[in-house]
Amino acid sequence: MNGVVIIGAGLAGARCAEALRAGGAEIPITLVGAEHAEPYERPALSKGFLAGTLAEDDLFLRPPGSWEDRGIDLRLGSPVEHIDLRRRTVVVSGGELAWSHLVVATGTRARRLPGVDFRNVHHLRTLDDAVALRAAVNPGTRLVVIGAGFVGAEVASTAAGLGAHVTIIEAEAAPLARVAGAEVGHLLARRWRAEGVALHLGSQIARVTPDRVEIVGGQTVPYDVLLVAIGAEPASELLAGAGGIPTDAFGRTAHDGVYACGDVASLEGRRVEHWTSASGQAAAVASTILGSPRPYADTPYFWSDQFGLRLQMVGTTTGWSHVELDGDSASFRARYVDLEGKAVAVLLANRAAEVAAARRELATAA
Amino acid sequence: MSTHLIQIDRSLCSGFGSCLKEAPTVFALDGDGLATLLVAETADEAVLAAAASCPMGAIAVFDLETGQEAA
Repeated sequence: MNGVVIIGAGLAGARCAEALRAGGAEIPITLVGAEHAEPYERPALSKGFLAGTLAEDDLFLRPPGSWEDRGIDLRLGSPVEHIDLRRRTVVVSGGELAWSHLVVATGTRARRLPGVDFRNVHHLRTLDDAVALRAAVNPGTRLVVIGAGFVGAEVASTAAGLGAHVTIIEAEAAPLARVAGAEVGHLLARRWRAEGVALHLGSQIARVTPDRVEIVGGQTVPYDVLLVAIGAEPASELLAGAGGIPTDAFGRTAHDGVYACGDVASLEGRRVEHWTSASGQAAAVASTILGSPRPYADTPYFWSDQFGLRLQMVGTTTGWSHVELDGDSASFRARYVDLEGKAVAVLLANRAAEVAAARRELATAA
Repeated sequence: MSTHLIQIDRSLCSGFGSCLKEAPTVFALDGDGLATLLVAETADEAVLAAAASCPMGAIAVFDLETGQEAA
């Protein structure tokens, strides 16, 4: 038996390795990561780590060395170049690994703006990205963030807290509009502006030079540091096309013995980039490999800390017709309701006490 | 079978409730919607899964005999 090879040593890959080992299997497990750092938590990169309240050591999923202690062969700094499905091998720098089961957990990479690759242009996906951004953002730094999604919002919030002068440029009419809708987006925009962030909404980028962003219609925003936060794309090219790797609820792909989990997986046509999905899908894949398959069927959930708000969303904001909003920009609940009056998602801001109830309601509704 | 000592960092807890699902005899949510312990020690291995399932990393599990962090 050649054992399990897991490509990608982020949360999904690492959790899958742990679950396989915890399941009592004596099979060889090899966890192959492109990055040099031991498996770590990404959520803090835009928050505590960037703020300087968390160090690199605080981010590790397990203390260094404990992977080997568990009999998990961790190979870092080893990008996989090729998967040979017929011979059941993967090609990594300097060699070949044979597998009987293969798990692809390669995650995503930050989307880039073509031609915008100056020294002071940053993205945020990896620990290395966060180290570079942290070194660049200081009190008084003029930081421009392109994209008012969750990464952009969290970095903007943290940087403002560090004393940087922050401007966000967003093509949509409201921040987080794709996820939260326009009404809630406008509520959040008021909050962000009250926290001192300059917000350019409905703004298309005309040109980016090494020291300024020109917005269509004439405005120019100078910067010292530019963060491009326009989303992520799945690193699925080893196995599939640009839309992620299609799987079923057990993480099985179209190929026998090959599984996918985490951000790169498109589970029954839907790809999500949530911590809880990565963790849960990894457990489903491990259970399937171990021969007692349990599907991943949890209600989607994510959280975001920004501008003094803890946002927690349960469910998915698709197929809703209107929002029932309770509260204000300091604390609110937004229920996304479909035409039949049924909630498809609930977004809570500083309302942790309501999370469990929202999860129960949406789990029943599903 | 080792005994586990459990600690919750309530300043990190977000009320997600995955710990209850994994180990319902150990964890509960209180009136603020945050996780609380029903027992301080247990031999139930499910607390390891509960700690791993917490998105905020708010749960620490120690082996009572060795004092080592188990999850």
